Amino acid sequence: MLLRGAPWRAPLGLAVGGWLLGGLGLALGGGSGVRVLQLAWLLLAGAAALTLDEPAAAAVDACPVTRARQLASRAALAAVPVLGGLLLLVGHPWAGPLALQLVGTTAVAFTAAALLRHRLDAPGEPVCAALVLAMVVLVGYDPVAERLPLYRGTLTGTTLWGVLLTLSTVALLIATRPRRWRTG
Amino acid sequence: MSAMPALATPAQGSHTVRSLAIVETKRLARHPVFLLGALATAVLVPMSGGVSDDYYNATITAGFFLGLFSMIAMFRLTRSMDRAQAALDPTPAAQRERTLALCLAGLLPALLSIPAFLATYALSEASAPWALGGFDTGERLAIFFGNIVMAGIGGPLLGVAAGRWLRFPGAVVALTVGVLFWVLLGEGLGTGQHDATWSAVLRMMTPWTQFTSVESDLNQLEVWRGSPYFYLGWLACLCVLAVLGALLKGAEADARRTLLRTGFAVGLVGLDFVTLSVVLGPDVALLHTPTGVAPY
Repeated sequence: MLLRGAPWRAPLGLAVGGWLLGGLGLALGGGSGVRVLQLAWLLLAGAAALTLDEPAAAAVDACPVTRARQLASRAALAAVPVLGGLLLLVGHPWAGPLALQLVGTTAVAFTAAALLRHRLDAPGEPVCAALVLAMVVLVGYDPVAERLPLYRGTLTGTTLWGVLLTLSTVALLIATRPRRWRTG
Repeated sequence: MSAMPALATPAQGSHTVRSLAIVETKRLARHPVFLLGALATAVLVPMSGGVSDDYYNATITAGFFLGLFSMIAMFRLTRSMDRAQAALDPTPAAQRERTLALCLAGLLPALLSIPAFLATYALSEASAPWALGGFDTGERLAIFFGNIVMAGIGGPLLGVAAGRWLRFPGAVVALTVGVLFWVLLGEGLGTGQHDATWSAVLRMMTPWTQFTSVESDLNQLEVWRGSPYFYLGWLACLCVLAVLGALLKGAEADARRTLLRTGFAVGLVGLDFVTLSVVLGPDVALLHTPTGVAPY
């Protein structure tokens, strides 16, 4: 029931765009192909964040369903774009680092949306904007990308992703705490 | 729909646009994304200068933080009007005037990009003559101007146009990915197919491009095809097309026809600039090294 109420059009649109762009990245190959794949990850992570938008928030918030269950059902939906992205990477020479970047970016975006869901009925849009800003700087602006090599496939990058994934897990646990009753 | 805009005289209309433009400029000036971009530009431009083999890369900072961040800020400002549509409909300002006001608010990043351009140009210095790639002072100014000032003008205008047309959730991601893909494709073609005319044409059609690529370890600079002067003409046409595209949304039949005709004419002029840029630029990509110049 919770999944049936999910807004699937926007996430699906972004996910399909991401898969197509990812396919194009694979076709291009080389360094340019990797950068295109990273752009595709941005679309897929955005799709995952949008799965937490709740058009019928007032009704859902009144349902006797725990926050954890709500998040789990939407996480299942958010996994679809990621799984499609991971399938693209089968046999790719840099599959490991690229898969980590995809999973990490999606996890951070989904966690941010889950945290914002406490305050907003549709957290997807602001999370997408923040994600775009963060990722274009981390991928495209060399002086920052060299200091925070999350998208460079280095050992430091892997460590940083490890830290971010741990923090995301903790934040998701916080996001599953029962909501307070709205008072006004 | 309100009857009031139709009754307004042109003088009243321009007064409304001016008043709205002031309001929108203040909203943009307070927008966190714009502030972040402006702050990053102010801090990072002085740091990105200095003596370097990578002389032309200095333009990335201001182009990136002013152009791209302003585009996102303007996109969100334009989209925010959707939520207030019910309140805005009965006001005397028609959608056309509100769109024009948003476009005029884009003057703020455009004005900020001028000192950023001057500072970047003044602070950047090539480590050796080969790092300049054979461009004279005018061409260097055109490259810096195109990558910084035109990005500061065009980015916000594209944000307004996209905000008018892309109304689905997550559109900000699609817009940014689309723009970056367009730019990356141009650069990829510049590197991979450096002598092909078709690749030069496609690269000259991007909204932001570089004309060189440096290999510092090898002391060599690849100079790609294309004339920086005529590329500025294409960028100017893109800015006009963005304004026309933004105005097209919700335009009535007569206005729509006029906008489409004007857009077609501007597009043709733009394609002329692209053609001239490719034809009047170098015929082949060149490699500049400390020992001289050779075809790449």
